[in-house]
Formats: sequence, C-alpha cells, structure tokens
Amino acid sequence: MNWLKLLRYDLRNGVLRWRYLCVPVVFWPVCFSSWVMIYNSGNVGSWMDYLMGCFKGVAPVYSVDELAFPIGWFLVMAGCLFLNLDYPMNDLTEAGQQVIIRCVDKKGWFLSKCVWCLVSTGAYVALGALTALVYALISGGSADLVNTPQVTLEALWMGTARPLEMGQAVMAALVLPYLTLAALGMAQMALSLVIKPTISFLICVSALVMAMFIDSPYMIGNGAMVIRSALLDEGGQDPVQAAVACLVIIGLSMILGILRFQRMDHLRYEE
Amino acid sequence: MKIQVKNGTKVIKGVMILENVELELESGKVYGLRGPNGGGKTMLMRLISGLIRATEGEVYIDGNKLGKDIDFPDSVGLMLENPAFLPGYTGLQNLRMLARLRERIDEAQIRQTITDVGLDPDDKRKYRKYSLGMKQRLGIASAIMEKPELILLDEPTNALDEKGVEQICKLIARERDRGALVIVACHDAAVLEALSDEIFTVAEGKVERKAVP
Repeated sequence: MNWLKLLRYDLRNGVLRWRYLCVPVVFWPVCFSSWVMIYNSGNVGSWMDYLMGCFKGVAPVYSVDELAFPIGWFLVMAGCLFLNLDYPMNDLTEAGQQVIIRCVDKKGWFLSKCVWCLVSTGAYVALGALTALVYALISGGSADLVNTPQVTLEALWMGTARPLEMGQAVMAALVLPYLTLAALGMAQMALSLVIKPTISFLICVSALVMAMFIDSPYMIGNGAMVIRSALLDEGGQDPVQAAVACLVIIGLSMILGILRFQRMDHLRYEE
Repeated sequence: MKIQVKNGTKVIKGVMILENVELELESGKVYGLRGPNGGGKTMLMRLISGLIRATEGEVYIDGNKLGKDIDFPDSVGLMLENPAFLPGYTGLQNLRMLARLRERIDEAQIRQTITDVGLDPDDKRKYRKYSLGMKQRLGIASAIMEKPELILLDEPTNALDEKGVEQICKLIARERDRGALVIVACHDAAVLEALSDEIFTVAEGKVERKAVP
C-alpha cells in the first residue's frame, strides 16, 4: 500500500473532525483574560500580544506557596493533549483494525500517526492563533506579529519593555509552543501503546505541572512559556535549547513508538 | 496461498490462549473452526492475520514468516466478531475509504459487493443507524470486497436471518471457488459442516482436526 494513501486516510479521519471547532472555545476565555488586562492598562493589543497572552505561562516558582496557577496556559496546553488523545487508539482497536491489516507494514502505520499528530497539533495552534487574531481585531488592535512593549510590560507583566523582532516573537509565542505541544502529543501517543490512553494523558499533564516548578529548557513545558524565554528576559531560557529538547522527544517518541508497535498485539480494550 | 502454523503458542497475561498449534492450510478451501466460547478461535484468526504475535512458534504465509519477513499477509480480508466501522459514514462511504487504501478495486466493485451481501449501496443511513444484521453484512463485505487470497470470518452468520445465512454461505462458497483460502469460525454446526472442506475444533487453546464433511 502506498503510505501516502494511509496518511490521507489519517488526515481525513483524524483532523477533519467537528471537535476541532471547539479549539476557539478553549482559546476564547484565555484571550478574554488578556483583553481585560490590556484594557485595564489603557493599551490596545496586537495579534502577537494576544498570542503571548495565551502562551505566557508563569514566572519560575520554587514552592507551591509562590505559584499563581496559570489556568489559561494550562487549559490551552492540556486542551491540545486531550484533542490528540483518542484518535490513534480508536484506530488501533475499533474500525482501524480494518486499516491496520491493509497497511501491510506496521512501521508505516505508526509513522502515519506521527505525521497526523504533528498536523493535528499544528491545526490546534493555528486555530488558537486565529482566535487570538479575531480578538486583536475586534478589540481595535492590529494584525501585527510583533509585540507592543507597553502591553508586554504593563498588561502581561512579562518584565521587559523590549520590542521583539517578528522572528523572535513568532519563535517564542508560536514555534516553541507548537514544538512543545507536538513533543508532548507524540510522547502521549507512544505511551498509549504501553499504558491506557487516559493514564498517558495524565502523565503528560503532570509534566506540564512539573514544568511550572522546574525552570529548565530541558523540562518539557518550559519552552511553551513565553515569560521564561531568554528573548524577553536575559536570565531566561535559551529558545534553541528548548526547541532541541522538543525535537529530541519527538524523535525518541517516534523511534520507541515504532519499536513498541511492531511488537504489540492488536486486541480490543476488553481483551 | 499456503499457511503454516508451527508450534503456535500464545500466552496473554499468564493465560495460555493457544497451545502448540500445528496447521497447514491451502488455497481453494474453506476451513471451519468450532469450539466453545473463549476456546481460542478468534485468537487463532488474529494470529494468522498478523494482529497478534506468537509467544512461541511461527506462522508462515507462502514461506514468509509473520512478524519477521512480513507484518501482515499481503492480501487478507478480515471480519472479527462485532465488526466496527466509522459511525458517521454510510456503508458505502466506509468501504470506499477502506478500498482507497489499496486501490485494488473500483467503485462499481464496491457497490456490487454491497449488493452481494444483501445491502443497498445507495442506503443513506449512517453506520450508527444500522441494525446488527446490517453491520454483520457490511463486515463481510469489507472482508471480501478486494477479492483477497486469505479471508478470515469470525461468526459471519451472527444476527442474520435464515435467508441471510444462505446468502452468506453462497458467497463464501463463491470465494472458495475463486481460489481464496477461507477460514470461518461458527457456532452453528450445520452451517459449518455445509460450508467447510475441513473442520478444526479449537478448545482450551488446542486445535484438533475434527472431520472432513
């Protein structure tokens, strides 16, 4: 079988789903929260300001008492993991068994799911970014992908009034969150081959919570927190290191997932 | 096509599911499997289709070792108990999507297979609205539509009325005459004897050649 046909099947059945319309519902309250802060500071936010609000995260904390739980960031991150949770496993146990036996090569099946995961995560981030754009426009802001220094400092409290170049801003508020979500999604998918999908979801969500306390670019989750980026704060984390950490996790998940998938039995959940 | 199972043993969570199974099967025949629930019939089918790996022993499809030389047989149609399809699509849409994966058959052949199993290809109902019998028929259609060399049918007559059983038996005989190797698991002894060239009893994981009807 041509692998591209399998990929087309996965993209059609795994991405073109009604539930993706829920993505703006996840981003909407987070953007609203940013809008309230921007409005109260007397500024008008650009598209990038709203994006930075979505992936702001939380400043490094060293004890539970210090933590102001970043509900919006957590919602946005966990929402993507939840969205990516069921498709590969349903495809493994239910209707998908008809697909598996037609794919001839197990490696191809898992690789197709990996590409699906990357595309699905991309669709999630893109829909979130569109929601942020709609917010920026209806609140009178611009569609610019550069931050407004006053908003960064006074509304989002990111500790600097330094304007970022567009490339830097896109790296901090789009590319790194995407890579982080893709890495977590891939890890979740690979883990689901060994343990129940709900448990793998909880493990990945726990990693996000741990990232709030562990201030290191190698702790997955940190890369998706704009507030911790060296681009905004000189003492912050190197975005390149965070990106490399994500790529390593994506690669490892792919390799370990293929190795596991080639050895696993395809049974129904109850079996 | 020739299938050889040599010392096929499967253990799942410490439970012996299949024990030292020895089988040699060839094209142009229908092999019947009977035995009690939980005896290992479905697992034997999964083993031959490549969906599970033998804990010990080997399965060869035309000399290729499953799990080593190949992951799945190149040409296989499968319907395990309780066939599952995408619930939001019609029967035709489901089969069309599966057929596109290999592109071995065209639209007319898909429609013909749906008609052959007693369904209407133009039925607009989604799969989720199908009755048990219709789901069963669609499962059989998916297993035979691409004219595979190996067909595995687990309880194909479940939920079918008398006329439906007769229809499916004729289809299975047609597939055998075409040269396919067909393995059927069925609780109905009369149906199995009428269909099969050879019958195996599968009980407590052991497979025994029972009779040549």
